[in-house]
Amino acid sequence: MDEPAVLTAWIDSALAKVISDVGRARSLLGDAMSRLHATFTRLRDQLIQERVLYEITLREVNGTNGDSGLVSVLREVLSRCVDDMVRIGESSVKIMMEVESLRGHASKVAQRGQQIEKIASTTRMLSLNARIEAQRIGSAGAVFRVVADEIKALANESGDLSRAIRDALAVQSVSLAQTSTAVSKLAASDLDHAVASYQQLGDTIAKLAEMSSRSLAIFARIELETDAAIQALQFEDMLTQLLQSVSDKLEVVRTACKAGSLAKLAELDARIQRDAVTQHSLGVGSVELF
Amino acid sequence: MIQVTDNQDTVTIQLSGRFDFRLVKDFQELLAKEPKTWVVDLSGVDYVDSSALGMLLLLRDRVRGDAQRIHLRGVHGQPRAVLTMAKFDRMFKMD
Repeated sequence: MDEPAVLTAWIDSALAKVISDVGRARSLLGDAMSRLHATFTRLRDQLIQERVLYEITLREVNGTNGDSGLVSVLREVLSRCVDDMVRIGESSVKIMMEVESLRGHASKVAQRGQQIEKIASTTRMLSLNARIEAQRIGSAGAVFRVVADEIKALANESGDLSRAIRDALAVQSVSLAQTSTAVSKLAASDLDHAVASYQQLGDTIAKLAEMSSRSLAIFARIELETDAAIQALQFEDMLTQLLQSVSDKLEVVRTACKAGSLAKLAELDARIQRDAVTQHSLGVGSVELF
Repeated sequence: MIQVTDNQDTVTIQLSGRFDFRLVKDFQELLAKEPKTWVVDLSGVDYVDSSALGMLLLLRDRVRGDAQRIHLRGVHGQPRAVLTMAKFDRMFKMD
């Protein structure tokens, strides 16, 4: 075999190999691009679903125009607790004041009882004196003695009654003191815990609002980036066309080499250019960008 | 601790330390007064409990809910947090 024939055979073989490699590269690239495109599309869809779920959760937490969210429900519950504690404080103070008034009245009743006991004691002394006088004047004082005995009995009775009242008041006083102690404990409810909860709720709401705002911004940014990636992957078509074009041109060179004709080369090149326009959706200008 | 100044139309109640249930009796005696304006000075108070709120509400009842007739003065710290949480800043003149 002469030298040009060897060279032509070698060029043909090399071109065939390059064309085959370009074809494989086009195929591999096409597959990879296709998988990447599908992956990014799924990622974007999942991202959109995540964002929708997040927005629903946010609406549940913050509420919408006509509906109370978790935050406002918590505020309402806490507010009611505080109102109840204030009402309990007010009622307890009223009871404590009433108990104090009752203790004052009981004290006055006890003073009156002491006065009655004094009167009873004096009356007993008088009845004793009357009895002595009745004894002294003999039978003439018999009736007077009966009256003195009755007065003494009445004095003893009123004395006993007064002591009973005093004992009852002592028992009542103990009960009132116990009531006052119990109510004062109720009245002394510590509100610090409620204040702390109120402030904690406020802080949590503020943090939640900030986090929501940041999360939504991150969602929006990732969506934009994913869209951009998907858009970028759509240039796979152009790359495939470009590689096809390279293959075709190499095929022309190979054919021309085999034929040893420049005219054949020009004719095949014109056909390749035509095919590139008719077979692919992208314009020639777009391919020329590469 | 409680100190009361009765000055013509105004009764000033100066409190210090804890404003709690132990002052109920003193407050009960004060409620017998009928001034035009009450000033409750809380600048020396560092703690209030629910009974303190109850006493202030009874004082408010005494003036038939007229917020302008009760002035809560010098409210700070824990008392301010509690009174604000209980919305007393809307029921009383408070600074």
